[in-house]
Amino acid sequence: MTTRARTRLPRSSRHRRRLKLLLLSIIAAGATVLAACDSGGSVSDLEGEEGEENEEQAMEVDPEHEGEEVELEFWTFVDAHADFMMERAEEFNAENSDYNIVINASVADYEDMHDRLLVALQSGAGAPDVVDIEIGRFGTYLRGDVQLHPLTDVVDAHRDELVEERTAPYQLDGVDYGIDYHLGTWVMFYNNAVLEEAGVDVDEIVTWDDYIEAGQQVAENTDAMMTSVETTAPTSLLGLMKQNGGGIYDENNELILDSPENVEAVQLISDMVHEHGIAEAPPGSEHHETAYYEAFNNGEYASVWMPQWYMIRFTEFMPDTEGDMLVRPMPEFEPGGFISTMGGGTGTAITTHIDEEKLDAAKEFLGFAKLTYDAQVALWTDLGFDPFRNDVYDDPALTEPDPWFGDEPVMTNLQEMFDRLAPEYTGPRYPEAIIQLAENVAYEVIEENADPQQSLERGADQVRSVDE
Amino acid sequence: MTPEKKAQVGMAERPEVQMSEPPRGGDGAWPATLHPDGRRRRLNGGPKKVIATALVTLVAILFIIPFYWLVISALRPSERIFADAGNFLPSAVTLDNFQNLFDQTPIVTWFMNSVILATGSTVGSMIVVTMAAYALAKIKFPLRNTIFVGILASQMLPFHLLLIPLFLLMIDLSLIDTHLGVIVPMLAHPFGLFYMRQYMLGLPQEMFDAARVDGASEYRIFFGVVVPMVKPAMATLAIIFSLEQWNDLLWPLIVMRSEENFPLSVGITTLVGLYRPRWDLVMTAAVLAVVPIMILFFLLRKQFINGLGQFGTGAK
Amino acid sequence: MVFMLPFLVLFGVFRVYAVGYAIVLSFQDIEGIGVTEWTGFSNYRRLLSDSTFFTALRNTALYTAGTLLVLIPVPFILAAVLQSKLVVRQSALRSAFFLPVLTSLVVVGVVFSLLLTTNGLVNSFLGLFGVPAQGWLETRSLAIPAMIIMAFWRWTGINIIYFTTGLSNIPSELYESASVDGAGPIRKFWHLSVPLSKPIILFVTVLTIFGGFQLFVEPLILWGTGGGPGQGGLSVVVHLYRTAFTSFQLGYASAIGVVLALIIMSVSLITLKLFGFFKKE
Repeated sequence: MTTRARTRLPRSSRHRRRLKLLLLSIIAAGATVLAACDSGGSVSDLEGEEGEENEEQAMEVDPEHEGEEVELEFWTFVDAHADFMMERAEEFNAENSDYNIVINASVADYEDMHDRLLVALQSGAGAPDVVDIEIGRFGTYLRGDVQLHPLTDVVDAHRDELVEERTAPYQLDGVDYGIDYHLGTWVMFYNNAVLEEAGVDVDEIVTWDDYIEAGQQVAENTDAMMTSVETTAPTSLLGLMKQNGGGIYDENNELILDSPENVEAVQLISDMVHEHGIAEAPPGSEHHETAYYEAFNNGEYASVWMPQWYMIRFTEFMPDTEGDMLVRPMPEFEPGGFISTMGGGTGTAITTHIDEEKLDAAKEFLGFAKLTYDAQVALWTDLGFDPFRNDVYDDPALTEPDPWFGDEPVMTNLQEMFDRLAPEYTGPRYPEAIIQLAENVAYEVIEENADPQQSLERGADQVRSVDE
Repeated sequence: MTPEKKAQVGMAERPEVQMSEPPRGGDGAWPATLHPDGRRRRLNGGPKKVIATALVTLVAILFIIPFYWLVISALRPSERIFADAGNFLPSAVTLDNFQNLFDQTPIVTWFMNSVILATGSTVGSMIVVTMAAYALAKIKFPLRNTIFVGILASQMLPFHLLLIPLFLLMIDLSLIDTHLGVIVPMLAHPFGLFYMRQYMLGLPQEMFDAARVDGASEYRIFFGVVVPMVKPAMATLAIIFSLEQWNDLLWPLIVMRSEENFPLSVGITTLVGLYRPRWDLVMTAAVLAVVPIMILFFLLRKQFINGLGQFGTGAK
Repeated sequence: MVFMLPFLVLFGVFRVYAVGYAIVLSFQDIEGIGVTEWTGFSNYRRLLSDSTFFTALRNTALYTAGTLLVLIPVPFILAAVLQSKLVVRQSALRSAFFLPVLTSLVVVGVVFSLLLTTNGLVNSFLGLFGVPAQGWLETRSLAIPAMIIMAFWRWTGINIIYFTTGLSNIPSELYESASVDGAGPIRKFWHLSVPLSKPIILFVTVLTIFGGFQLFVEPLILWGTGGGPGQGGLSVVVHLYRTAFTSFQLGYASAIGVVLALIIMSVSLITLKLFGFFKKE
């Protein structure tokens, strides 16, 4: 087709066009050469220096080491996990003369990494040796022929010291397939400055009723809100559901998304929002959003319930909360009942695609890096996570008072809850159930005042229909 | 819609052929008061012109603002990116984000991968498409039209239907995580074929006949006569194919698995991480993804605009 | 015929065979790794009771309708105004509208997640007209409008180009004679530009329907998992993608793909019919 403008093109510009065309074909010709070199391999063959830059996450090989060099391809979706594993590998190599572990870590986005892992396992090529799988996605990899190596013997070597509840989510038929990074004890974080302004004594809050009462006092006496509930993530709901003895699956691998315990917990949250006016959706709708960090930092919220690993968010992103934060147990549903549970989690697993000769080294390393006394202390000192090995809670590193959190020994206080932890079970449709909680139940109940029971039932039906 | 129909409508608009077509599709809709007399008359200028220009310019500025935002966000200190999201001027300007991008991500590798994928698929598609278009336009063979129509009709299927079979095919062919795996399935480009065929139909038949009379083989005709003549159309296709590949996310997202094989589009999505999105890196990488296309655009503005216009409407 | 061969082989393997493969898969149950089973129509039956699919379908249809509402009239008017002699510096302005077309959807998503945050520019702009700040990315009912805003920015330029190509095909003599008869610009627009551009409007409409129903990248970038608040941003393709790669039910995902293809084809055909495309001219 000819546009009018085109027919009027002066000669010179036609000529220029021809030059540009020439330029284009030169570019294209160059590309053909490049494409020809690229026989499906990696681009790093083409430009060495950039390739090296990409290896940045890999460890340097210690040429002095006498042990057998074992390179492990490690995939994770958390930067800090990559650093953590590399440091453990250095320690491992320093103590171990048989193997010289070299971690080749690759950090990718959460969704991508999990999808890609599935593709790799399915296609039988390109899978990593060691991989971090988030608890919500773990069930996906336990379907069909499990492509993960059993780690039961690795866990067995330390099992007596471990908090038992933390190994359950990564088991199938009694076999362990993953090892976590933390316990993730659910706690209530209070901004004591706000509570004091409202005239609330934090240690008077024992039950959820007390909490609601305190929340009303906060609402009356300050500009702040007692708390917030995530509307596009499952975390806030799941914490209370599990604390109340509910959750996604029970120990018999049955889906219990719409169990009475869950309904009661979500109803309580709904009441906090709609009846008592002490909770609302956070800015950005999640507790990991910059907007929420700013709001909490400005004293707009008196408290938030999140797993222990949320602690470092205060020190990193909410500088004005220094000294004002207090870590307390969740308010209880009933005296002596469950006080807490575990939130989130990431299981490190070994895939069956690992070279046979690397397997022993990988298992030995994984036990060393995740389950030994020193490793579990490092979970706290390096990552700020609560360890799931009981004996490390007496370590000086964990008993030290923390000036940011009211000068209290936070971890020591935490350990007192360990005999009141509700267990957590995962199952084959855990990922789908999490999506239902995050995208439907939380939003409907908080934003649209939907009936918790009906909403949970709808979600459960959706999950069950997946296998019909 | 019958594809023949599609083809006919498209055929009416042949590239490079100078013609003034009679109006189509008017259904006699213009009022009797209007009758052509061919006299030139200038439109009213003055205030109307100023107002119209001002209004359109205002809308155009709205369209430019997101680019300004992208650049200004990339220059903001990382902790201010969201805090200042509503502020027109940055409270501070820094190049640290770019420094971090180069230090902390394999951005150069990603960039090179994008270049390789874009050029590889462009060159490949151009060869495949031009050859096929020549056969469809100028060589007679059985079922010619049926094949053409079938190819066009396939365009109605959404790509996502093919996602899973193609993914399984790539596994079988061991093309997962390779550049070829991204490029090869996309080479047979129906719109490109259609555009090229229409263009060739517009070329004078005498040229080919003359060559045939001289006894030249089809290969000689193709490389000696056809290719030089369709260069402008190839330029258009080059722009379109490379743009499509450069900006594509879904297919490389599925095929590419190792970080060192990602193109920019996939690389950027990895930076929008779960617990701590690196907006500083995301913004700077996005700038780097946009800049080369913009440079190319300003160098070849006419080809871009005419090419895309022709390409789209030619293929209707 | 040899010239056709590369194209035909590639097309045969990666299109024809792949479509057939997809249809076959849609009658199978492929779950977990290495488990395949023939299940007849059960994937399709399941689709009928999958309320997530219907949520996604409703969202996608709404999005498509919304994009049609903004992406046909506005670019057409802009193209007409740019085409008329009322505007100076046309080509610079056309370039400004065109630049977003060159931008990858990933970048568009990244920029708009910034522009659409609560304290972002879109809200500041609306604030000028007294509109209170909206939680664009946090409210179920605003998820689709947020994506339509993005689509408007992304695609207006290319539609202007299409319409301009169509409009420049209208012989200028028609406009000139209309002017002689005293028709103003608005009259000429309604009685000349619009009716004479019918084929191109039809073409852009069908393209927009195609694009709308294939919505995928935008929700994925704006909301990590692609569902958005209360699944207000969930599209059919995102549902397909998640079914395939999160739940790893390739058979069921293929059935979603087949149904989506049928929907797109029927909607396009109905549109063509409404435009009178099949009538003999």
